[in-house]
Amino acid sequence: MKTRSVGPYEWEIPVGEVSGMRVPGRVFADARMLAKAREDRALEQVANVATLPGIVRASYAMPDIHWGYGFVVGGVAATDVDGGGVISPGGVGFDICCGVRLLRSELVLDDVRERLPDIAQRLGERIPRGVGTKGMLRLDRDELAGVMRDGAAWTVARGLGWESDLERCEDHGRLDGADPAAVSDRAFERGAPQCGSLGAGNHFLEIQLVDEIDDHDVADAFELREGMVCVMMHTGSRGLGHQVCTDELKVFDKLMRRSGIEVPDRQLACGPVEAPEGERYLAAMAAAANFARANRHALAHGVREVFADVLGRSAEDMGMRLVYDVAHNLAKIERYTVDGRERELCVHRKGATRAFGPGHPELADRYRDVGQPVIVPGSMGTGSYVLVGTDAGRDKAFWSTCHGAGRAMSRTQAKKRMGGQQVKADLLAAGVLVNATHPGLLAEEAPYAYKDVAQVVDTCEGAGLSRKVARLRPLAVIKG
Amino acid sequence: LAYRILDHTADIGIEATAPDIPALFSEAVRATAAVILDREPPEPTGHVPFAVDGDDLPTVLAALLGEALWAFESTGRLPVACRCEVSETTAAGTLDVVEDATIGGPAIKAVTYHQLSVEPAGHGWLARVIFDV
Repeated sequence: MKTRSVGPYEWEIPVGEVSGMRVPGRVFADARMLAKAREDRALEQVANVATLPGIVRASYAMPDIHWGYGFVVGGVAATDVDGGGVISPGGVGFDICCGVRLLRSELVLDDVRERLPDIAQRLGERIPRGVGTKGMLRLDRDELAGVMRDGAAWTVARGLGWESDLERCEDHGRLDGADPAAVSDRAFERGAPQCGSLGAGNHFLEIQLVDEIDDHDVADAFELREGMVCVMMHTGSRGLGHQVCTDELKVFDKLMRRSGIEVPDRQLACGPVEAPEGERYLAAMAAAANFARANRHALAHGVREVFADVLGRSAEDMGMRLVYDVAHNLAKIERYTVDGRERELCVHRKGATRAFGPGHPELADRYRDVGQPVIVPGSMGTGSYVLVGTDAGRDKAFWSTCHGAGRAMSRTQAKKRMGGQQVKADLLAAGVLVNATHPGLLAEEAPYAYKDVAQVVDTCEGAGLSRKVARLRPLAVIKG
Repeated sequence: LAYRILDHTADIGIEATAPDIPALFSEAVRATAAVILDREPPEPTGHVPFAVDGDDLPTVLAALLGEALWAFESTGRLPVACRCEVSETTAAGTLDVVEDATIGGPAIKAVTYHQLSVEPAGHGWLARVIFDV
């Protein structure tokens, strides 16, 4: 796969490298990341995405790029809605609206040091996790439909979470256009018991400490200070989202054949955004996204309760306010000027985070002057980052940036290197408590199985996609 | 073994072989259970009926494995084999299950269409499936 350097940390895959490419591929990476992406065939997937009908400018890949199923992980693709552009359920993924939420607090390490094992233990008991887990909320069909329509606002209306949280969520915690009627009975059945659950795999909840501030002005706007205790959580739409994608993949596979659309990988199944199937998928995807927002909202409520119980102070008194909640698996209709004309685009972000720059009208007043917070979890036991969107990000990659460290090693390779118990012991020796339902599985998510998240966020900054605001280091990890 | 587990940077896959399609589908179910358990699956202790459809053999297989994952998620009973009749667009029969299986491997979220295939190979059939984990 040919690539050529087109700027600092920016590489182009020319049209023609894969048959049917409509636009070039554009990869944000340093030379080492690019070599790794080439090695695991992720570049081929970037080029495959460039064949989607209606795609504009380029098929983009963020620095945490790695091989996925169909779409590259770390991929961004925007299609022109009025120009026959397509939407692809595979370009969102099975875990629709998987994302990250960060709670800050006025607590410092001395406030929690002695009680940290208790807090980790209590969080482990309070937060449902693992495969097929039953969540904190048991919803009947009408309640679940309400969650799908109203997202985080549904949970707030029932006393879970704070009204002030909503302006600190992407889309104010509710993606417009959701229609529970577009969601199958099986998806209802899977979602009903799972709201307020963490799941398994790379999903986690972490107690963290802000240990470095890179941009003090923006950190002030985000209410972050060095030495502050925070809680980060990473999860998504659970079985409901998985089922929506499974159902729609089948629909789009058929639609694609009927429409005569050809793509190099069946998982890239797609159809016109404006086709009835496209509109229905957007409605079902939004319903799953709202479920994911409500899910993280319910979990945050559980976190606040545990801190309050253990430390004997109210969550309000401890200042446990939300910094932001943002997705990294979603397709959204956004407006951009392309080739001198303003267009409505369907922007797929698969393992990539929206990162609006300063002044964007969709941002809440609180963040409009500085830009959107972006929460980037590192691998288990390493640092995580808070970034902010930039002006330049709009033209670079439709206001998108990285979503994490990105895997560098398969699960089998990771397990061969070290057992889960050893990983746990090493983390403990490094001062990180671990509470996992399956300690043996920790090896799959060991820090060495991922790229260095610091290099990823530095590359994003070098490429102009986002800027660093703060670094957080883990104190305790709760895993499914 | 008539299956092998495929290593993948982010996800995981299976490859199964068998002399005919029903046996191939059963072997694919067994391989999926092996991923979840991280060991050779035990003998089944019960069974549940199933019926799935698709546009062709690969998507019928994807639907069958999706059904197996759903059975595990919703009931805790893990399918380790199947007995079924298969046409070009349907499969129906029983999933052979074990009760209270303990996860030893990665949590599978879903069955993807990425590199999904069911094709003749040698004197039998070969299937390949990549899971999202």
